[in-house]
Amino acid sequence: MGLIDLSRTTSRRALLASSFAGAAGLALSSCARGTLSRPAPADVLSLFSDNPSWNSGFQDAGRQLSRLSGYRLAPQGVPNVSNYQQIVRMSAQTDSTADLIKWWNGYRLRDVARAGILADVTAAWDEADRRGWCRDPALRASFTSDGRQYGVPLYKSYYAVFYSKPLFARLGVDVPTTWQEFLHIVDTAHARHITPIAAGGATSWESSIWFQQLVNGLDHDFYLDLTAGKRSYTDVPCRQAMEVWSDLYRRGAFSSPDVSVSDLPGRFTQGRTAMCLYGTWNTGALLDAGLKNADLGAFLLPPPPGGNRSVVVESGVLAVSANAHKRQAAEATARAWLDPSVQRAWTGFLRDTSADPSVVPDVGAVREVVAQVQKEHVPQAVRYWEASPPVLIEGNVQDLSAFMIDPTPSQAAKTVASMQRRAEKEWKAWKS
Amino acid sequence: MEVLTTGTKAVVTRTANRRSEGPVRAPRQGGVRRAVWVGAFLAPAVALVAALLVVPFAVTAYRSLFDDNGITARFVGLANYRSLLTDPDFGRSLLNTVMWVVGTLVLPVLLGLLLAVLTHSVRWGAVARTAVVIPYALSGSATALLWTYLLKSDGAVNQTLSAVGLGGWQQDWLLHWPLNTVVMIVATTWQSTGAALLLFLIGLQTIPAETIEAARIDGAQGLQMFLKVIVPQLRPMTVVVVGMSIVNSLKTFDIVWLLTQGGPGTASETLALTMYRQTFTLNRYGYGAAVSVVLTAVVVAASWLYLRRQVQPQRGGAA
Amino acid sequence: MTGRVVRHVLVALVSLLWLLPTWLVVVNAFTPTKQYTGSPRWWFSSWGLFRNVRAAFSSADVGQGLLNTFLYATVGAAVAVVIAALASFAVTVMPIRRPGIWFWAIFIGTVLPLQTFLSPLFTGYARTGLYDTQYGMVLVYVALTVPFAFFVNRNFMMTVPREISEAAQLDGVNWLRMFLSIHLPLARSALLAAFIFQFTWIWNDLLFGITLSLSPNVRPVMATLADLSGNYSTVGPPAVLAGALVASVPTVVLFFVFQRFFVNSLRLTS
Repeated sequence: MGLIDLSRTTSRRALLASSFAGAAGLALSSCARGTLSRPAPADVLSLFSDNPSWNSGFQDAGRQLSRLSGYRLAPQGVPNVSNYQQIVRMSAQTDSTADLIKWWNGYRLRDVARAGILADVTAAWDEADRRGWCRDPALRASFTSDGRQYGVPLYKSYYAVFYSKPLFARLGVDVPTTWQEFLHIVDTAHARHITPIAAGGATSWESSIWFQQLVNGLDHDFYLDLTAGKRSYTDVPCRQAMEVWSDLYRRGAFSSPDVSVSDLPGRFTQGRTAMCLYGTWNTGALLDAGLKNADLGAFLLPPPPGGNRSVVVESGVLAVSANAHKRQAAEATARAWLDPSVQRAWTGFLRDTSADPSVVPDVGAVREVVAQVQKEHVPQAVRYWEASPPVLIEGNVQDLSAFMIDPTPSQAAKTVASMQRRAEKEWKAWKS
Repeated sequence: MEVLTTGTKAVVTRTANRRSEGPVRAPRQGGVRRAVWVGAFLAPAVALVAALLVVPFAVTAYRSLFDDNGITARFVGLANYRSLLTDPDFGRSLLNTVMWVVGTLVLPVLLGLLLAVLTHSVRWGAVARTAVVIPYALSGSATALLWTYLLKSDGAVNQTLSAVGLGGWQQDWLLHWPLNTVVMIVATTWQSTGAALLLFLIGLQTIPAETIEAARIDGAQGLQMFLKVIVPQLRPMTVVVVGMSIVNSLKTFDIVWLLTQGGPGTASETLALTMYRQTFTLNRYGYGAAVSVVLTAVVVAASWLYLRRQVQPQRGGAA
Repeated sequence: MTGRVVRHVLVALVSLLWLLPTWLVVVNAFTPTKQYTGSPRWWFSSWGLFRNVRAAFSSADVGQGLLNTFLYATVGAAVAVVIAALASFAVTVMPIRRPGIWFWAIFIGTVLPLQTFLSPLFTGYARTGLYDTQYGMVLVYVALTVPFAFFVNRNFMMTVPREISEAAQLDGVNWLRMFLSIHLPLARSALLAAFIFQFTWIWNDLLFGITLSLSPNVRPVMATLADLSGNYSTVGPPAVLAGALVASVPTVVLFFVFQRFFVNSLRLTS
């Protein structure tokens, strides 16, 4: 192996290597900074959300907002919920935080509000109250930490039973007004080999949907006390709710717990599933996936025997970051958020209800639910997901998922015992 | 450039002088010069790993001594590690992790080795290799969606079973432990065998044709050739495949997160999922950090046990 | 003779087992969203793929994401492989005290669980202005892929006979020349394999993509595609699958093109 040969090949390789390095350098020097994390233009507020598919809705609302407060919205979506929460927490103390943040109400809001990363927007609620946009003390309480409000309601959803109108017609059943009528629909569908109710949750938060519905339906006051840490999961109403749930499983009321809500439009269209208890915020997704407005109905589930009518409510939060680049402007936008023109643009996109009862989107199913809530003055309860300290909820939801896999009475007893043990531990941790 | 040339000349002279004294094992250069050379070759890799991986890990390790919710922190010493020991979920996730290590050592590694050798001797082996390698190129989200199709209660597997009259074999594949961990290991096998296969193929290239020929003349054939000649000759690549398999299976996260989120309950959680749930779902950054320190200790211990004889290179024939 | 039959049957069986799920991916990506019920299809019901792909591309900025990812995967994997080759040359060929320690100093990068990096890296990136930039993404991908590329290369270079480098030394070749003209060409199959593996890894990464970037002009394609799925998905699983299928085409092509390369010069049995 001669030196001369080597050096020749070397220089060729060196040439190759250096041209490669040059190309890499060129590629890197053309690298860009993100358009969104650059300081936003003067009339734009940045908004973090966990739902990129809402971006165009935020832009619609932003156009209305710019007439009122002078600022448009630049939404930035993070697709995964746990990643989203983590990015909000991590960015809160840095320069990369957004002006506005989408969050959850109840204890999830308190959890971050008491860490001081959100701005006080009590003034926005006062203004909404003065103008009659939103006078809802129960809702306001769920946006409150230490007597001050830390966000305005992004939307207000009800948990209702969605159903397929053509399938109900084919089964010869009508919207149930009593628990017995509801059971009759379940049995009729089951006898025809149609899944009466799609209920997922084997590995997700959705396992809490039927739990909250049944506990709240059986005893509304107990549900409020239970989620406030004043009653036990082993008390009678809670055990009774688990019994009813277990009994529904025995009747064949539910799908396998690994069904996904994104399968629902196809299942409804093909007549394979009759009903699904879900938040009205999902209406838009159902319609976009091909369900016809005329074929989709919704009703409030009648209370089980011994209970009273009440409804579970979910409300997203629009909060102002304490470290916002344009905090004044963000606060002004929060004040303008509940203006009816903004709400109409926003709920028109979302096809869900607003915290302003006068703004209702033009969707049959949602209108039916709202009409029922307003006519019967149904008492409202905060969704389980936000109704207690987050760590307690996350653990209990996992217990409920495990119950859905094995919905027997003995498993029910184990489940409530485990939930209560966690409640004792986590309430102590929350208050410390 | 001038300096370099002079240096080269010096090396030439010196090595020329020593030529009579037997094989040269290392260039005789000045200590400083040598250090500069070595430094220039090693620095980029070491610096990158240190700055972007080791330092962030050290930050996390330090965090494990705090009660930290991601926003505010309070020093608690070793309390996080103490509560780890009494956590029943931790035992389960340790057990699952062990299942993953054993499962991915048996399935993808062994299958990869067998397929690498087998597809050589079959004329249409390229077709089989492509079939096995394609899944490795698919993204995690596509894989997860696919296996959900296959494994959910009304999914393809159960449909097929009832179609061929084996309805009694239908299972809720992802809903019960330990079945869910086992089927997820199978899903991983489907995806990652291609990687092992390719690495073994590269290893096969390094086996000199003369070695094979000599063995054949000695009468080695089939299985005997495989065990006595090919497997030992593949050792350097086997170390890579097995080493990575141990490390990756201990860190198993993606497929479980996408298919079951560690559930139902915490039934299918691995250590990496426990860490992720504690840190990012429950916002117990300190506790999650403690899990990650334990996990890292396990991975380091396992790979050190496996690699310790490999780390000192047995240097070719000259050594 | 029976041995050969068994071999053929085994290989055929394995290929079939592996192809079945792949087949499902393709068929279901063709299912129109409106006909999707959650149960998989085994045969094409229509040519819905293009509508699904269009839905994926219009709901999320998949095109821009593909360009970004192409940059990260190509530059990131190439730089990582070069850096790893330099380091493996240093620990296998160069006279170095305690090569074991240096081996571990780099190898440790593959050992640490990825999720531990997220929070500190985010904070560090946000403080240094690397957050949500393309060079920040390239940097983190290079760092993440160096250790495995190093491991592969090092083990390959250990099989290079010692005599070769010693002969070069006798000829008075300096280290850089020895590296460039002997070890780099010899290790090219390992280098190429490392490049392909790391390219694929970067291409398919989701975790760092969604943590360290935000803007459409920085986000890699997997993060963009993640926008489509999730709880609030409006396009349906077939569109997600169609998007994922399109995004996987480059890596599949890469493997297909280099398939020949992995098996040439191999003659195990006749």
